[in-house]
Parts: sequence; C-alpha cells; structure tokens
Amino acid sequence: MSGSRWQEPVITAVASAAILVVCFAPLAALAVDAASAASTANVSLWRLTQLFASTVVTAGAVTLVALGIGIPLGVLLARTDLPGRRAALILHAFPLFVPPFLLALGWFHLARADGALGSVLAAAALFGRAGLIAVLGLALTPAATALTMLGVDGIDPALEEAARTVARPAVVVRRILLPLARPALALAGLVVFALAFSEIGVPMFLRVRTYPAAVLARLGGIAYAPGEAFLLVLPLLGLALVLAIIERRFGGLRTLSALGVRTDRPRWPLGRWRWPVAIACWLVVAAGVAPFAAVAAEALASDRLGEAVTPAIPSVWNSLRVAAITATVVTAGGLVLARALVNRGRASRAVDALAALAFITPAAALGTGVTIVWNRPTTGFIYTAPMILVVGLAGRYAVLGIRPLAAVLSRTPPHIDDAARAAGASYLRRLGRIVVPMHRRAIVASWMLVAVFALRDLETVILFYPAGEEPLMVRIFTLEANGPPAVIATLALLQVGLTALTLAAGVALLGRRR
Amino acid sequence: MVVLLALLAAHGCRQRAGHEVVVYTSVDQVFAEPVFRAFEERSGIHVRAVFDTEETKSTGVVNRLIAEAGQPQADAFWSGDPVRPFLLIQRGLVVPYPSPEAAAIPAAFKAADGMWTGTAARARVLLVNRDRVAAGTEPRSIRDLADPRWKGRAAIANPLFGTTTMHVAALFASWGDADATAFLRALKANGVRIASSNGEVKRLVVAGEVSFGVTDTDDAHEAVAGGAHVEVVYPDADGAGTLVMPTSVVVLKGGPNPATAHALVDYLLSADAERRMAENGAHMPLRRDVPVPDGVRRVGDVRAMAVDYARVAAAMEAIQPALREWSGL
Amino acid sequence: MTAALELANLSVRRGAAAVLADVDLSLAPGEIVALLGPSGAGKSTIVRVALGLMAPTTGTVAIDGRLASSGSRVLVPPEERGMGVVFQDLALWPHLTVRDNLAFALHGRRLGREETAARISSLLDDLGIAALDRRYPGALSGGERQRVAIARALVGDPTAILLDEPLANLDLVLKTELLGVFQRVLRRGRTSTLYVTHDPREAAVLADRVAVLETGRITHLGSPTAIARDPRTPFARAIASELVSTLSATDGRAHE
Repeated sequence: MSGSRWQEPVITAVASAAILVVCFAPLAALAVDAASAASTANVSLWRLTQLFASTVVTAGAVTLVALGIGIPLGVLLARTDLPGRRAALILHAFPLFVPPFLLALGWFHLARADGALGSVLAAAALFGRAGLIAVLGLALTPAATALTMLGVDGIDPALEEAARTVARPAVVVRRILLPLARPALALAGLVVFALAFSEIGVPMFLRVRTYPAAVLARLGGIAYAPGEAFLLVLPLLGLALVLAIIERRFGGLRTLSALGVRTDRPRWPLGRWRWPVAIACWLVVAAGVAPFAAVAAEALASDRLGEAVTPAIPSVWNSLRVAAITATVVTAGGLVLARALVNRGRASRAVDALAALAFITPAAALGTGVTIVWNRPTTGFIYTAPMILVVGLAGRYAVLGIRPLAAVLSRTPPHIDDAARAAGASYLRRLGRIVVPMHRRAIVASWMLVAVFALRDLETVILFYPAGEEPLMVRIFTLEANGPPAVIATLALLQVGLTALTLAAGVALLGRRR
Repeated sequence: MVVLLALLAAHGCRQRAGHEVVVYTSVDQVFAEPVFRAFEERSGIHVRAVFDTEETKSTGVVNRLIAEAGQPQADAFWSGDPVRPFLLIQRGLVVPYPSPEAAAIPAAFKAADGMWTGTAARARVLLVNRDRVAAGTEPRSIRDLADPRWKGRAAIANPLFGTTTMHVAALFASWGDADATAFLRALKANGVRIASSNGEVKRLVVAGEVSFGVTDTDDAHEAVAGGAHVEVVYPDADGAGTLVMPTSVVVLKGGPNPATAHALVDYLLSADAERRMAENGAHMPLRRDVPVPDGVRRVGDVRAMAVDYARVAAAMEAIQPALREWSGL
Repeated sequence: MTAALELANLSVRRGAAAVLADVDLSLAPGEIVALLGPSGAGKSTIVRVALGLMAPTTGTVAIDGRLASSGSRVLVPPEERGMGVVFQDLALWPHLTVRDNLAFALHGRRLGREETAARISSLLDDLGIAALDRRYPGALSGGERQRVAIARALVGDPTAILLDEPLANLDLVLKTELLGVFQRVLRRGRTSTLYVTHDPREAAVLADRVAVLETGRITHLGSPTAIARDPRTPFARAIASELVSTLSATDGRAHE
C-alpha cells in the first residue's frame, strides 16, 4: 500500500497546476506581450485617472446601495417572521444570476415612452450615472442579502440569546449581530464592488463612461495594441490586488459559514410592524423582478417567437454544455485545492490568490491573454474547439469553486480526516468516501454557483469563442445591434429560463435534508 | 471521473469536418445570417461564423483576426464597411481573389486586383423626426450638425467606432485636416449628443429625444418600417454627395479552407445575396440588376461621394489620437 | 520483547516554544499506559506525533520495532501505521452507519466480505451495541457513540490504540459505565493502549503505568501507587490524593 503515499501531493499538484494554467497564464502572457512590444502609450494620463476615479466612486455608490438595501433585508429574512420569506428570498436572489445587461434591457423597456413606467423623466433618468447606480445596485443587492443572511445565521445562537435578555431586537442587531457578522458583510461589500467595477454591458448600454469600458474600447478600437491595453489594465490589477488583500484581512476563509445551515431558532416577531415591513420588502423584490416582466411582455407580444428561438437552439446547447463542464472541472479541482488550503499549504494559498485575481481582472484583459496563450499551432485543437470556452471560464471562475468549499471544509473538525487516516484510508479513499459524501451539499452548491456564472458570462467568452459555437449570451449581444426587440427579448427570456433551470436542478439536488 | 475525462476529450477537440467555411463578419448578424443559411442550402457547405457585437462592445472582429494572424482561424472576412479590410491588407493578411461575380460590381467599389470587392452597401443618412422638425426645415447636409439652429437637438454615434469612424475619416480625407477638425470642435460646441451606436441614434430620434441624427440606411429604414414618424434624408445630394459604404469581402491568407472560401465569396457578391441584403437589411445593391423593395435605393440612384477607400483607411488610422482626445479617452 | 509503541528522545518545537522536550515513553505489548497531565501539557501533541499526523522536531517514533518517524520526517504515513485512535470528539463519520464506520476501518486489510461482517458483528456484540449497527451516529446517545468509537478503533486489530481524553465531556454516571467498558475490552484483549487524560481517577482505574506530562516533559513514570507514594512536583502532589483514593476504592481491582 506504499504506493498511496504519492496520491495527495500529486493530485494536489495537478489540480493546482491546472488552476494556475487557466488563471495565471493569460495574465502572464499579456504581461510578457506588454514588455516585449514597444508600446507607445498614447493615452492621456490625466483623463485616465479621472475616469478611473469616477468609476471607483460609481462602484462605491453601487456598493452602498446594495449594502444599504441588502443588509437590512438580509437580517429581516434571516431572523424575523416576515410573511412569505422563502418566496421573497428566491425571487429576490434570482436576478443576481442573470447578466445585468438583461436587467438593464428590461428597465429600458419599462422606462421608455410607451413602457409601463413610461415618462420622459424615467427614460432620461435611466440613461446616466444615476440610472447606472440604481440598476446595478438593484442587480447586485441579492449578493449583499445572501451574504448577510449567511453571516447572521453563522453566529452562535447563545450569543444572540444572551443579548436578547437585556436588549430589544433592533439593538441586538446593531450592537451584536452585525458586528459579529462583519466578515460576511465585508465580503459582501467586496464582491459587489468588484462586480460593479468591472461591469461593462450595463454602463455601455446606459451610456456611462467607465474605466473598464474604456479599456475594452481601447482593445476594440482601430489600432490593435494589446501591450498598450495591458498598461491600461495595470491599475485594474492593482485594484484587484488591493481588494484581495482587504478580503484576506477581513477573514478570508472565515467569511462563509456552512451552506444549508438550519435556522430553526425562534424568529423575532415583528408585531405591528409586520405589514409595513413586509410591503417594503416585497417592493424591493418587485423592483428586482420588474425588468423580467418587461422583457417577458416584450417577447410575448411578438407572434414570431419560433423564428427567434429555432436558430438559437445550438447556442442554448453550447451554453449548457460549456457551463456544465466548466462547473464540474472547477468544482473537482477546487475541492482538491480547498483541502490543501485548509491544511495550510503555502503553495495552495498562492494559487488561491491568483484565482481570486483572475476573477477580479476585467474580462477583456483575461480574454486577450487567453488568445495569446492558446492560439498556437500546438494548442490549436483546443483553441478552435468549445474546450477553449471551458478553459477561459474556468480561469475566470475558479475562485468560486475554491472559496466556498474551503470555508465549509475549514468548519469540519479535523479529527474526521485524522480518524480516517489512522484507520488506514488513502487520500483518494478519504476524498471519495468521507470528504465528498460529507460535504455533498456544499459541493453541489459550489457546482451550481460556477455553472450559473458560466452561463451568465459574456465579457470573458466574447473575445475568443470559436466560430459558429457561440453561447446564448453572445448571440443575444451580437443580435442586439439590429435585431428586432421582440427577438432579443425572447432570447433574453430563454437565457433567464436556462438559469432558472440550472438553479432548480441544483436546489433539487440540495433539497433533501437528512 | 474517467467517464468525465472521456467526455471532455470527445467534446473538446475539434475535428476538421471537411466541408465547411469559417467567416468572420462585422455585417449585422440579423442580415448576414440568412445569407449564410441560403449559401449553405445551395452549396451544402457548412458556414461557421463569428459576428461582431454592437460596434462598441466587442474587440472588433478585425482585432481578433489580427490577434489570430499567427494561426489564422478564418477563411474570409465580410466587413460591414469598406475601410476596415485595409487594416488587414496593410498587414499582409489578405490574398487577392478576383471573383467571376465581381464583373458586375462597379469599379469604384472594388480593387482591380481582387484584393477586396464591395457588395450590398449602406449610406450615411440623416434620420429626421417629423414631429420635432417642421416640413421644409429639415437638415439637408452633414454640416447641419454644426449649425446653431440645431443646437442640442442632433445626435451622432461615437466616432471611435463603426461606420461613424469611417464617416469622419472620409470627411478628413475629403475636406482636409483643418476643416474637418474645426467641424468636430463645432459639433461639440453645438451640443451634439454622442450615442454609443447607430442603433442608439435611431432610438434617440424615434423617441423624440433629438430632432435628427446621423445614422446608416439600414437603421433608418428600420425606423421607418417600424412606423415611426420619421424621414430619411440623403445629405448633400446637391453638393459633395452622400457617403456610400459598401460591405466588403476579402479572402484571408492561410485560412483553413481556401476552396470553400472562394465559393462563399462568389455567393456573397451574387445578385441573390444582394437581393437578400436589400430585402432583409435595407442594404443598397451595387449591381444594377437587383430588385429593391420600397424605401431602399440602388447605389446607382444616389449621388455618391467620390471616395478613395484606401485613403480613407489611412486617414482612419491617422486621426485616431485626435478622435480619442475629442471623445475623451 | 519489542515495544508496541516507542517514543525516544522526542521533542517538538513550535517556533521558539518547546511543546514537547525529551519525551521517552514506551508501551509494552498488552500494557495500558496513562498519559496524565494538565491542559496545555502537550498530551494531544504526543498523540498526533505517535499517529504520524505531525512530525517531531527531533527524536524517533517506532511502532512494533519499525521506525515510523525520525527527526522531522514522517517515514511511515498515518494510514500505514496500523494504530487505532479515539479522539475527544470521537470523529464518527456522520454519513456512514455504525456498521459502515467500522467497515471503513477494515478496508485496507482486504478481508473477505464474510470475515469483515463477522468481525464487526462480534465486536459490536462485545460492546453491547449490536442492535445499533444500522443506525447513524447522529441518532445515538453519548454512551452509544463512545462504544462505537472504541469499536472502530479496535476492529482493525491494531498494534496499539490511542485514546485522547475520550471521557472528558461526560457526566459521572456515563464515565463510570464507560470506564468499565474500557477496562473490560482493553484489558481482556491485551491491547497496548496509550490513554491520555487529565483525570487522575481514570488513570488510576485503567493504567498499569502512568506517565505524568507537565509542560512538555515527563516528570513521573511508574505505577499509580508508586507515583502516589512519591510525588515530586506540585501537580503530582495535587493528584496523588485522587490516585490513592481511587485505588483504595477500587481496591486494586483494576489490575486483575
């Protein structure tokens, strides 16, 4: 049985190497390209700095909106007897998994002259910085809500109960729950900020100039100069590093409590506040869902749905297939790396940090790097195949496979693994018979998260999808230029449907509590 | 785990499936796709296409072609404007192909050696909102964008992208640097709205947010067909003329399927393809023998601006810094 | 006779601090040695080093005469040491039934299916929990879980078994009951045992010899009686009376 000694180091090394290749190689390639090309940075530094700063401020405002709505909502959903909690959470969370661009499209349909909320004021307000902050803020609020809920749920009930004997709920929330949940709240802020900052589709649609959009424009302008684009990307990488460091300091692995935690603690009664609060909550939920309704209405108003859908079927298949494979690969590799992380391997921390960096790096940079790395004679068979989408998406979203699993594994008593080792089980056997079955729910949840993000992705894959194999989001985007609104709306609905299907499948798998 | 790897391997790798052609295009997908489908039906050759997104939102299919130059993945490029292919030609990424179908294309819209050939065209027109502009007072020239009469009431798409870049470059090539630069400055001073795309300009005009805008014939036609109360004006009809932008076809060097590339190019230049582009996309045929639907004109029936597309291409690269400054990046 | 487990010259340093210093301890076959000491003495560290979950800074660990760890290198990994362990939190695998928990520990032995089943059944019988074999750990009481834990540690016929404060969190009644179980099972089967505890009463009842561990060093090594008679440190003096009273209460019956 001495052959089993190599299992852990080799498997961990393979998983780490794979993650390293997909996450880091594109960034490195871009850096090398920048260094070797004599890049005449033909850009105005002052203007760029202004743009960078204004984008930071905008993203900050989005974060404030999302936290401002999401934290109270999260506490209400987690700890009170709000009527219709489960439905509210599901409806509220759903928009998070859909590309924000579709939500902006929905708001446009609502706000335009003949839309449900139509008025000149509404349309003018939508297209501009205020509209951007509102739309993105609403789109990303569910992230804050969910993380707040997880943070609050993870607090030892005894702490809360001890406080309840001396103070009323509002005070307990302010002075006990929220401070204790600070790591989760900080993570929420960071996630929202990162997503808001790198968002391109919505600012472009709403005609607001942002730094990442400018970088993309630079790559898409007349002169192809990846080296120069990389220089523009450097501040973004710098920002990503800062965010990563902040995140580490605020708790890293401690920030997520176990998924699927039971909340059978008694809930606080809202008493006479019940209905006013409920109405307010449901308004927030409705605001999140309204764009979908608008898009649906637009789609259903047309009588040519079949025409829109039939040619899109291959795209649907592409999207699902790529998302499923990416999720599987990332979850498997992520599990191995998560174990290494929890065992405090130094190398694995570096790999995890790089994965986080790849997530925060704007898609334009990552995509260009992917092309540089993989479009060579030796690797052409990957580049021209749907596999390249998996490679690109795995690089972008690897961190979503690693972090949640690491958080869950770190909450598992280490003796579980020690006992298995003492009982003679090899690494693979422990992985397969102990780790995976014990953490089945977290693994499924992680898989779902990656799959949904892969489905939702646009900016990463648009740069290198193989000819004729576009995923659905790309198709929507390319058609948006001049496609009939009804067709776009129908395809958007299709995309939403795919997302809902994936989530439902995952929830069904998670469903049974033993 | 083994099953998964096998699945990955089977699914992931591309087998060269023989009868196919790979085309990158910046012609709008809604129009190009039916043409490709028609070609597939007639020839039995499978078309794998990469489309451009809304002009501002992509890397540009051209940049992708340049990025892939070391290992070309595309056989042909069907450009939505006649100027971008020059970027590829200058970099030596194109091989000439004088198609038999090119005989019917006027000389002004093709290269003599077959390096590039024009087909279904658009023109840069003024789309005017009839509710906000009284009859008889419509703008008639591109210069009206700088006319204080229209202060804050006009729109144009971002000149860093798409056909607008070409339009501005054509003005530089035609009017000279000084005049053109002054015009751009005047636009800013006159509060001209910069939209993210031609589609956006159309939306703005139809919604009544501006009185008129500069856009392409296909966007304009769509506004009209959609029932909006708008009018299409072919600017400078009694002056320098309207800028005509044929779509343009080139064959790429080192592409994977050269033989089928020729077949596709032949079809794209044919009367059938032009007819489809006219019917579906309100594109103006270059050939004289193509029937046109209502509201679409043949290029031959319009006063076209005299343009050397190669010079415009050069101008496009040259004015980049000035444009970037003007639009704020 | 080769010791079942031998720790020689064992030191473990974490940074500048010495967690264990010059520990010499050997476990003869069939012997029960109690490792007694206050919290923070380093008892759990000895368990981890003995199991191979951690490498010593200097010193050696030998199992059945074979060198298993030597001077900061783990030569034989935990899964190959053939030791049994009961941790303080028991670490029963929650998703496996009682029977499967035991079966998992037998995997490496490559016994036939029948023999596996037979061994498991007889051990569960012995511990009085045969009726629970299809239950999950979550559905068991504290005492039942303890029995499952010790069964799992024993099922693989280990060279030695380590118990790391298994009764620490239990009430007196349960403790007494389980001590009786341990006595019967460990003594009768002549299993070499290292029993880690901070409770001198448990040591007095179970152990042939007691090793007193204080701040990483072994200060006393000998029979409970011998230590009680000649305590040389404050801690030993504090526990001496407990040792004595337990010994006289059980009247030396533990060592039958």
